[in-house]
Amino acid sequence: MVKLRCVIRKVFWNVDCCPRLACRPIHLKAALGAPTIIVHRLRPGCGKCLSGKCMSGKHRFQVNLRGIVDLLAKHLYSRPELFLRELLQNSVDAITARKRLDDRYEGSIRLEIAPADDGLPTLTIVDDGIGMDEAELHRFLATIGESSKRDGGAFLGQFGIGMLAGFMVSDEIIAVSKSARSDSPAVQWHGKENGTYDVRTLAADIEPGTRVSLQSRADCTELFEPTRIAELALHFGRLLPYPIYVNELGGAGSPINSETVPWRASFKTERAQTAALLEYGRRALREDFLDAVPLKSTAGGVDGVAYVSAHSVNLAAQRKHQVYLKNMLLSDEAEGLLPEWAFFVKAVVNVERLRPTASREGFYVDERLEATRTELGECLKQYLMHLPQRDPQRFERFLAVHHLALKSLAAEDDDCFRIFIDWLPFETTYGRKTIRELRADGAEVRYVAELGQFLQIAKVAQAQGLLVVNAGYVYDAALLGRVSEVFPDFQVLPVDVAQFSADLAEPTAEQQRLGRQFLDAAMVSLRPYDCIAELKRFQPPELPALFAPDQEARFFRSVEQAQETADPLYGGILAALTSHRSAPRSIVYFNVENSTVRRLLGVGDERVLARSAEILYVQSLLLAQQPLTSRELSLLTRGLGGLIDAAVERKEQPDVDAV
Amino acid sequence: MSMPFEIETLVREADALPHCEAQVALYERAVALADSVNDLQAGYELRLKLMMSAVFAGRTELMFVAFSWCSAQSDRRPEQFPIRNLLWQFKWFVDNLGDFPQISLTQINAAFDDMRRRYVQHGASLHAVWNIRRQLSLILRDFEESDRCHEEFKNSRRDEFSNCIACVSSGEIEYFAGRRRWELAVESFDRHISDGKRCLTQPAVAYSRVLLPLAKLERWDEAREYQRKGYRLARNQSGFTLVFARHLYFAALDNNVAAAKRMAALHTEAALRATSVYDRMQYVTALGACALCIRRSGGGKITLPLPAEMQLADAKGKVDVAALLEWCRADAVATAELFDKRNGNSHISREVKEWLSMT
Repeated sequence: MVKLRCVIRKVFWNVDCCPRLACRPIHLKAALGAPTIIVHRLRPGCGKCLSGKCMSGKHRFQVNLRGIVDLLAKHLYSRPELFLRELLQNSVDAITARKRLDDRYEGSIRLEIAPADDGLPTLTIVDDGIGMDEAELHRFLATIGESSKRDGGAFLGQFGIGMLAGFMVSDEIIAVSKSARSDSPAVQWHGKENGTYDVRTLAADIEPGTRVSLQSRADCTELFEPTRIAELALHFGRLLPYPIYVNELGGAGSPINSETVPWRASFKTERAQTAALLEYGRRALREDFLDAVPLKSTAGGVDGVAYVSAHSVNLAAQRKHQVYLKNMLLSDEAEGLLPEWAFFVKAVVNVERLRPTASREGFYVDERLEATRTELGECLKQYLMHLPQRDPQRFERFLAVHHLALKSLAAEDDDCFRIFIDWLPFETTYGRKTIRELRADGAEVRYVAELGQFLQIAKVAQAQGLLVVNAGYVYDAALLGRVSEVFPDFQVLPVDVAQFSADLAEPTAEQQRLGRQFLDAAMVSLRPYDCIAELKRFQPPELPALFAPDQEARFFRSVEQAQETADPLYGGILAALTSHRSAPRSIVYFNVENSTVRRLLGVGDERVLARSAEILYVQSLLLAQQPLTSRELSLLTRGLGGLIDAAVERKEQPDVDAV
Repeated sequence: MSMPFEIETLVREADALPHCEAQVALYERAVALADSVNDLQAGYELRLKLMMSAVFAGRTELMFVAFSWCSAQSDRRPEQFPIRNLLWQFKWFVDNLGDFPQISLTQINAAFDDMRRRYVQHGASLHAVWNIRRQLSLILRDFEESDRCHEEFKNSRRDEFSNCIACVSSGEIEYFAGRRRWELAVESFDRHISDGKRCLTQPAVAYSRVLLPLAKLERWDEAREYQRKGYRLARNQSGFTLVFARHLYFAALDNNVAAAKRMAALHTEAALRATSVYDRMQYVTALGACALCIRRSGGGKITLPLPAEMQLADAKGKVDVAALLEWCRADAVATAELFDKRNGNSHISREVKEWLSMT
């Protein structure tokens, strides 16, 4: 099997070819399921292929044009309207090339839409750029992968496939061109989607430049509506330095891209600039943003604006940006331009010096991209660092929506940590509080670094009147651990479930004495469940027992639960996972403030104490929303059964006092 | 708050987070709630989310438990829980078995055979299966098997169960590096980077995989550049113990004491709690190499947050590098011997000793 690497995109094709057979057509099947492309290969010197034609000497691969276009349509261009961008790009590059010959020359592009009797309109793109002679037509329009624009960074089109994009919406393309470099006559190139083309010299002389005409296919007429063409041309070419006119058959008009984008315009005040940027965002991106931040980077030659989202953004989402490359729209969804912590902005930028990938959805990861990312990140950082003083109200709104982004930045950047830590909010047993509010409450606060543990103790902590901070979310523990760097007198101390529970109040001496027998019975009956019992005194009194497993104990419980249903292979694997570890002990704290527990203190019947401990243990599991294993379920039944038996037996015994 | 609403709230909160401990805890809690009311369907669907979160947050053991439960439900109620839904997760399960020396070769091979059988039953390509077996064989240090699987893998058809192109490409780097074919590993990396392949974990993982091959080829400048780029991408990720181990080891090899100290200070505490025994062993080995590098440069004590039970830090949190080196050596060698006993060879012990002497 031979693999060919496609230069258009990295599609690997498996080629069935038997080297023993001469002149056998090679069927290229793109790995991604595109149609088969048939390539005829001739053995050198053989002179004949299956068609019987004599073709000796050096040859080139021929390709099925429709197959290539289908590949482009499905795997390179995300939508058919991109054909217009490709053709505009060719015009822009032609004008740029002509400017190199004559810097007084201005250049312009016209888009003419002509209706037709058969209902299939024709779009003509006219530029007065460098033009082509006949040899160049053959070379650049009819040789796929050949581009006149690979000599450096000035040109947009480098992959040699732009013209093909026209076949996504049309079955024929006619290009008329006159070179500005020589006196050679004007030429016409007429290409068809069946892969054939003809070239002829024109008798009439025309001005240098190129006219490319495409008649719409029946299924694409919507794209050829004048308003749609104008909309697309503006979307793609808004920033182009050359005017684009859209008219019908030569009518005059203003260029559609005459407006200067606000980040390139001058304003008397910063407020006026921000208002203009936000208005632009509203129009161009159809969204109301919280704020707009001008962006600049010398490394990548970037200018533009970052729009701060007015609503919270998923931290895990990849933010996509509208990116122009050398003033032509590259992508509405480019990634990787800003640092990871800047997930709360959508940027609209023009880049001059970054290399796009062939798919045009991102940039090659190189030093220049990294330097650009750093510089753009610095713009945003400076914006954030000055925002609290510059516009306190807007900062409050920003904080309410994007505190996670600030935490991300503070975790990464020491300066930002020192500036923002006091404002950052954290979840506590008494709702959301900032570090500033926590400091005002006292000189010390405790936090639980694991979310699962926080959820376990939150209710009890709150009932005790204890403020505990939930540091289980990403960045929180790391940030809290460093608070004393900025506020040395404020202690932020980690605590876990075991420590928290151990710190609950001890029963009185009398309660301990009375509860000794109950505790001993509980220890014995709960031992098979790897659980030990303790007596404590805590709020709320309605809670008879607090079950407090640590992470390891919770894991062992989940293994036991899974093993009940797993097949022997997977059950065995789970057993192997826990075999080398001794089962950790969970602790259940019986609450002497609870009336049911109080009644048990001083009871002498061992059986009653054991069954009661079991029932209260299961109840504590349910209150902690822990699923019960089969053993624990049967414990509940046994416990209740035991209590009922005890009650019945007592009833059947003669009343000694009555005798 | 009613139960389904509470589950929905937990899930909504978890879905908004990246893969991390907090997300795992939220999904765990949602699963527990679903189980407490015997809602099988919810328990199954929530476990699928928990598995993904656990794998990427480095909580492999939770993924094992959740997968076993789901697999059992699939066997009992195939129409309600078709096995097709678990074919992707099967890869995670089998791929990570080798990381635990207490799981025997018999168990590993049986699980792999079960995976293969189900893929064939379902009509899926074996592309993903050979990929997993190749990676697993490297962990088991069964090099002949890894070579065989590599050939089978290359000749298999991609399908919906194949890893993404970025991960497949990065896996090839790992294979060549594991086979000590340093130049092929670097060539594979060059292709990976020039193609701009990206996903949740790539190219961060790929950058870490190429460091040792470049060091072996004495292409130090390139390696340093890739460390800089790769570490920046990896630094805040969860479940990256093995990636940090590679970066730390390279810093030690490169005698970059400052970088080694910085990385050790940031990652050691979490790495020592890693549930993957293999990843933890690699990290401890790299930490030992780091201690050796610091000692050779004349350093005596470093600030290093460590679990209290290790009893290596003094009252000021300073750790003696000689004591650290000895601790790492003892811990890593003991773990390596467990792996060798399970694998039936002595490759891992030899490699650990090689890393610890930085040869």
